[in-house]
Amino acid sequence: MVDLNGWGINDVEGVYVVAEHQYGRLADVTPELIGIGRDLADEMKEPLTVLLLGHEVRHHAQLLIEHGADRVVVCDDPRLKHWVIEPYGRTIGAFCRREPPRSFLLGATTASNPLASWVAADLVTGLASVCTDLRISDVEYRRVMLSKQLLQKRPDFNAIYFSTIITPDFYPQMATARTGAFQAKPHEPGRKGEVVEIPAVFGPHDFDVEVVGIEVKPKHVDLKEAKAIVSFGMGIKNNPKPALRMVEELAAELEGGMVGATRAAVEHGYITHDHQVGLTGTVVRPAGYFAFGVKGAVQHIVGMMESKYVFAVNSDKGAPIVNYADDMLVGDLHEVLPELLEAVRAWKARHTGKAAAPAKAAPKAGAAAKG
Amino acid sequence: MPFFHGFKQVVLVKQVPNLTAGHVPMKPDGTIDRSKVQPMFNPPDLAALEAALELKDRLGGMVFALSMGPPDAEAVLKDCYRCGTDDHFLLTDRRLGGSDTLGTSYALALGVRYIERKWGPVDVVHAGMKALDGETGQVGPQVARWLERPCLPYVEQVHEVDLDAPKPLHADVIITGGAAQVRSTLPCVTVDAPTKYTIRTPLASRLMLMKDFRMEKLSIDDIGLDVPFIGVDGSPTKVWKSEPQTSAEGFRNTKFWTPDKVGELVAKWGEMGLFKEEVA
Repeated sequence: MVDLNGWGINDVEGVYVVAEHQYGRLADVTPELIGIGRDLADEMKEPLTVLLLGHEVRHHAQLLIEHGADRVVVCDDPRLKHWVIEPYGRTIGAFCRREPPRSFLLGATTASNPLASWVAADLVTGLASVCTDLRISDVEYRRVMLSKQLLQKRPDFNAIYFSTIITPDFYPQMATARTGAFQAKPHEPGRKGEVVEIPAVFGPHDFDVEVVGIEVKPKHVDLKEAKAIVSFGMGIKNNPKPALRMVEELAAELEGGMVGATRAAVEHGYITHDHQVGLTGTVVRPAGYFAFGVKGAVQHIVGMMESKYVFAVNSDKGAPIVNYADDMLVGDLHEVLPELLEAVRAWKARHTGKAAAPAKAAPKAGAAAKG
Repeated sequence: MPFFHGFKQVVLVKQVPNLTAGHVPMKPDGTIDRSKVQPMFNPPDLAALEAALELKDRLGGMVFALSMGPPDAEAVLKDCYRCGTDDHFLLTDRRLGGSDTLGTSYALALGVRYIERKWGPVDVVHAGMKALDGETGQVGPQVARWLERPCLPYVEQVHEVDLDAPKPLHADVIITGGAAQVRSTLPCVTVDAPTKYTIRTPLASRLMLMKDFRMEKLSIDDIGLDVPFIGVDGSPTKVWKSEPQTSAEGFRNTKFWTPDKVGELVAKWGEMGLFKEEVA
């Protein structure tokens, strides 16, 4: 039998965020979680606490405050050098038992998602994963009005529809979010907050997993840095090689242009995962988004719908992407792409006063991005 | 039932509705019409199955498949059998219906304990990275928490299992921006990533031998489940509202263009400043 934590609505206070860091720097998801955590805390008029665990991580505390934390709880211990679930989870669980939070946010990332899951079981509470919207609201549940409930909106069923999840009667109300799902607050240098140090708490089996080596694989492309993205989907499948080459050429013509892809295209091996746009890839907001042969699965749409301008080419006028495009060309991308490239080069030639010279194909998408 | 003394593994598998085919049949109220959706083997669990069977190829022993779901989820256990698993357990009980991950992981952990009472201590429990119908990815780490066993998330490859070493399992795991080599004690729980496993095809020898397939159906009484956080009513998370993605949120006023007008379109992009400045 597992003991329920027994916390009621009056036993809990504030919003907690677990800071994620690797290779000596904070993960992008952390300031984003602090950003949404700040909104939730302000709505409830309760404090926002960031839990910072690791070895030689103390120096991040001030930065976390400048991103919006009221308080940073630091656990700096050589035994927390590597991000391993059990020692991290045990320490977080112990602190929550001492000061139970109302809402609790972690990243839906490789590092934080398993930790969040483990901690949710440890605290015997619910966890809504991969939330795309979080709010605080009063909720009537079983004819009882509950205040300060966390409304957790997330994609469900392979992102075909969205559910709003609540966790009535259970605390903390836990949620995870992917990198890019929320926006960080502007960095406020010199912002004041409290820093508290706590000791690590370990169980007898917490060092059963030992990290013996780490190999960093450089990420070739960070789509978040793109100003324009030329994406392709399974529409290229009839003649993928030339289509992919033209997609790369178009990206090379655009300011800050990079190549993106749908999950299906990545899973078919047309391009590496770091190019994937969407909920399971990167959530992007470029000035221009150019979608070729992208049907528009919800999981992709959610990853690009905040782009400033969207252009789409698709042979199917009924494809969902149509609804999210400012400009749409119904046609075969294999025919449209060469015409577009030619028109782009002609336009550039006119505006630079030079003859249209065929631009060199980018050797690979990653290099095209840097140009 | 005699204990089995060799290497023992459990693989957790799930049956999910096949929503990958594109069109999703919806009911007028905006929920998925499950009667028109084919069930399928949750694809990420194939990596967990493969991981278990590869270890069995190397170390021998037995692999047990455990699932939770309606009675027809027997199908995924049969799929496991065709690939080479040895014994099969289906947690099927109306009282478990609608459980979220907390209750599901607890029931699965007790299912593992049940298997251990039958066959002896299990060395590795394998879970997939996530289920396509929930996308939570919580079950593996939570089962590890309930069993108080170390959890190795996102194992790409098991290098060796040196049963004489204090930390016998040596594996590559995915971490943010790279890979880590880890060693772990046994027993442990792995969450297996599909990146490096080649999923095997069913064994021809087993396709015709379904009569040798064995499976136990387990109720919550069989596993001794004693917690209130199961089923629709007991689960901590509740679906407050569901919106199909037919909502017009984010829709734009789409302008349609024909191929003969690409010049105009490109001029528009130029004026928007989307093109890279040419270096003279």
